[in-house]
Amino acid sequence: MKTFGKIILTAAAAAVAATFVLTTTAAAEFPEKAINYIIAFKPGGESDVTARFQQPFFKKKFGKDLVMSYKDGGGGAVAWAQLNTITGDGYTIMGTNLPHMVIQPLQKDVGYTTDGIVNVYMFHYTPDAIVVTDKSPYKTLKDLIDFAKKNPGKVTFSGSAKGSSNHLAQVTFDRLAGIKTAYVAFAGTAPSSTALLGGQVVASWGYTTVPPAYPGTRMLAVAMEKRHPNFPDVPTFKELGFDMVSGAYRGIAVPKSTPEDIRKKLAKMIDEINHEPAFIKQMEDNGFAMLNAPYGPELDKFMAKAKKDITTSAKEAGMVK
Amino acid sequence: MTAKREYDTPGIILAAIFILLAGIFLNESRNLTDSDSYVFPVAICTAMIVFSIIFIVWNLLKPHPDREATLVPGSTPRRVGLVALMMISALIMPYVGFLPAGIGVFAALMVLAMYEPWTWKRAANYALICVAIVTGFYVIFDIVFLVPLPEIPF
Amino acid sequence: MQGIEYVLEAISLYHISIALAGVIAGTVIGALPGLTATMAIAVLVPLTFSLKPASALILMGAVYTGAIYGGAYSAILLKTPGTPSAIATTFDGYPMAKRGDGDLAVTLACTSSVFGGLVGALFLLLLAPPLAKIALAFGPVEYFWLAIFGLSLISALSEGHMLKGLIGGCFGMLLTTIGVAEVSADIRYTFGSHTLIGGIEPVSALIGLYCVPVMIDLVATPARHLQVSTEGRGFRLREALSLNWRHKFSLLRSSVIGTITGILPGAGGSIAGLVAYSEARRSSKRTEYFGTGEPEGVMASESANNATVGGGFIPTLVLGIPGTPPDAVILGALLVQGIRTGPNLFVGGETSIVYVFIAGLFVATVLMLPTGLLIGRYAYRFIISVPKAILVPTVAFMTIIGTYAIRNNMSDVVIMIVLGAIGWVLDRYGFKPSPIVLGLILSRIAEQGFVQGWIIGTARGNAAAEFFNRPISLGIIVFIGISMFYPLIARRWRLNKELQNDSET
Repeated sequence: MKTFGKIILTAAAAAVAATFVLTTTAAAEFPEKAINYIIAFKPGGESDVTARFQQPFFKKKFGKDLVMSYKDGGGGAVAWAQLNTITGDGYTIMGTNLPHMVIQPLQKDVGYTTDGIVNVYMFHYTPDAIVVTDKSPYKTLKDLIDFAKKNPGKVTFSGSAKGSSNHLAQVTFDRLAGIKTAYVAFAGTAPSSTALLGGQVVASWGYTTVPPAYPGTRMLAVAMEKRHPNFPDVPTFKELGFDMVSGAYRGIAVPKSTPEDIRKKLAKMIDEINHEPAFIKQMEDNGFAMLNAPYGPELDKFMAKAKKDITTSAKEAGMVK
Repeated sequence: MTAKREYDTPGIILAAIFILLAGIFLNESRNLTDSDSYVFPVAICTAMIVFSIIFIVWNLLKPHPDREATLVPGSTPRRVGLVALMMISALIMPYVGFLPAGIGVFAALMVLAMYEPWTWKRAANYALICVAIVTGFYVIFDIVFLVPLPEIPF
Repeated sequence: MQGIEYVLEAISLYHISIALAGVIAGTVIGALPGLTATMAIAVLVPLTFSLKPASALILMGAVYTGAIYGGAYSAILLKTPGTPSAIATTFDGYPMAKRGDGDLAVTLACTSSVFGGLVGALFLLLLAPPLAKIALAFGPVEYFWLAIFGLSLISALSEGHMLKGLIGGCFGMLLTTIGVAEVSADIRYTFGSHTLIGGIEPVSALIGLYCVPVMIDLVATPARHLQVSTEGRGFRLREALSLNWRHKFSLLRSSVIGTITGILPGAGGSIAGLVAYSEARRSSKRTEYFGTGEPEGVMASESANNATVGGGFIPTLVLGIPGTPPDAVILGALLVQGIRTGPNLFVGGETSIVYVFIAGLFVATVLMLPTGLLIGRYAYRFIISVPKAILVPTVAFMTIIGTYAIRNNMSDVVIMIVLGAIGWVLDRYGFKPSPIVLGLILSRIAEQGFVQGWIIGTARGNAAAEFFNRPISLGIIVFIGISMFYPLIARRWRLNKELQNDSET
């Protein structure tokens, strides 16, 4: 009997200890396995590249892999519409993009709503910029505006698809500068910049990421609050008297069923990477601009403002009624 | 040559369906406001309607039977069965997971495509092959190429 | 000799084994419809963090080359292009396999792919900076006409049923308009369905249109899938090489077409194969045999699509503009490594990486000959010897899982199966799948080129002139005219000649 009781006791103690160990490690060591990172676009696009920048830092800091998979379709809408059907255990995260996520649900029923997506962090943006080739006769923004004023409708801008931040910026800028230009939409920054380099268009509404990626291009102005650290010589639109700050914002979202503490943990992890000097340098060298909007009031405030601004300019651009 | 006028009846019916389809798309185009979005589809629809009408008129005036199309050897239930089984596998996979759905449907497809008598030995062999191939696909896609296949939900 | 050190580095045992592994993996990936080179390379990107950049690039290049070639197997043996690049390979490859020449077709695809790959790599090595300018010379209008050129092949592919071919082409184009319009961002023709918002993915549609009908007929009768000859004929390499030699000019022309199409960022392997096929068909003395199992057709398509590999790297490395979708992923991996592409890559500090990579691409292409022949033989034997009760479910699963893998989406699989069933019905009544697939593949390029060209033309003052006044456009228009009407003219000539001969005798 004595031995039996002892066995029971030891077993119980062991079980308690085991559960204790298990729960504490589970609590302390999220993530325990690789995290699946879904990109809502094709491999090789800008959303993929920025996720790739995060990948090695994540592995180094947290010891687990970020595993990319691609759920391309409907300009991101297919992936976002499925996000909330995935099990929310923190091991599936998804890249999100503005202004897409605001405009699409306003256009039609696309299977998700802007507020239904749980973003845990908005981590960078690509500011809009007017880009010309090195050989272009327009040295400053003023040169281009003067030409456009004399020749209404003759200035052609290439840019990303309609409803992209490039397109909204073109509409806003036309109004602010009192000019009329033609917008030629392409299926992304790569074909749009190719058209610029090939002289198919006069200029391009691109991003600050264009000049580092496409040698032979330069920017006339950037839509940022302050000048981009990598391009100290390029003025902001604000300095030149046009009040516009805009761009394509990228973040990370989780399924709605993800527990509150995991959401916060993920936000903290992305925040750590976002403050890594080597990561910041890599992003800025490639023309990206950093943004720190972690889960909580900061993100809510950011999203509320973004939603309002994007809705206003999308209406102006005729993208939504 | 023959006295009887032979029409390409299925071709004419399909051409009529294509006209209908183009009509549905044309009708839906009226909801689009941006000319960039509708110019091209409207042009395609118009072309499709024009080609289909020419095809129908041409065939009614001068019958061109499509001789190739008249021959249908083989078993229709098996044909339908193949499409149905593939469809079932696609529909149940998200709910029961890739492996169970895959093995079940794979086995059913084996039975469907079998033209030789079943023996116990053959059945045992094929069962092994079925499990091996589906598992092999799972390993290649899910583990090697990191394609997130539907998992067993429990 | 300067440069020898790059060659030596590329042929180190380490790099040769990397290239070998890459080519083998790539060939298998390419042979499975749905698994694309783009995806395989995306999976490999994390490896670039641990490997040296040059080694990682060699691996990616090898996988890419292998995948483009591997697409030929399923094109020839199952009438299903493993990658879109192999669409034109099905036209003559599958009829060859049907009549019992599958082994020859597979070997011919291998030798032609190696040749095309080497031509593409040679252009990359010697002429990359000047050739990169081609990528910039093509504007929206040129792409529009290029797409029309591809579509003009419909007339050749549907002889006797021209109207059915044209209707099929329109149907294919209409299918691609469903979903979110790529440039105008409107959500169109979804008829309220959430499933259709993602649109109809061209690759899954072509898997459905080509492969499902083949399986439907396969399951219906006990007959063998392919004819087989009783005696073993080995690789039939000598036969393949002598065919290559006989059509050497056609082979070279196809490779050059492939390289140039690869340079064009808006085009890609499928268009390269189609254009090369169209040109080979036009200039051949045996035009009427194309589409019924003419080896030259397989050669044209396969040499052209492998030439796009080297061609695609030209704008990627020189201008930072990805020539093809896999190039976009490789470019992203380079960015993460901190390597900046551009003209400096060829003359500046990081030259060595580029030249080691190009040398590695040559090595991988050459390695494709033995590995391709062996894997090809194995694939052929498997397809002809496996019992039908195993072949049908295996191929069915390949299409399901392959379609799912393209966008990790089960709706695409459902669409694929539905299109397959529709395609079978259409095929039976004379609406062949190839014109529909041409419409699917080329519609997007045509639409974007048209809309963009129109806006630019209007801004310049005359939209119509934009389409007809540019030299490259005019050149393409002339080619469209030739390839559409040349067969008619040639037939007229031949008839005339025969009439003369008759009257003389």
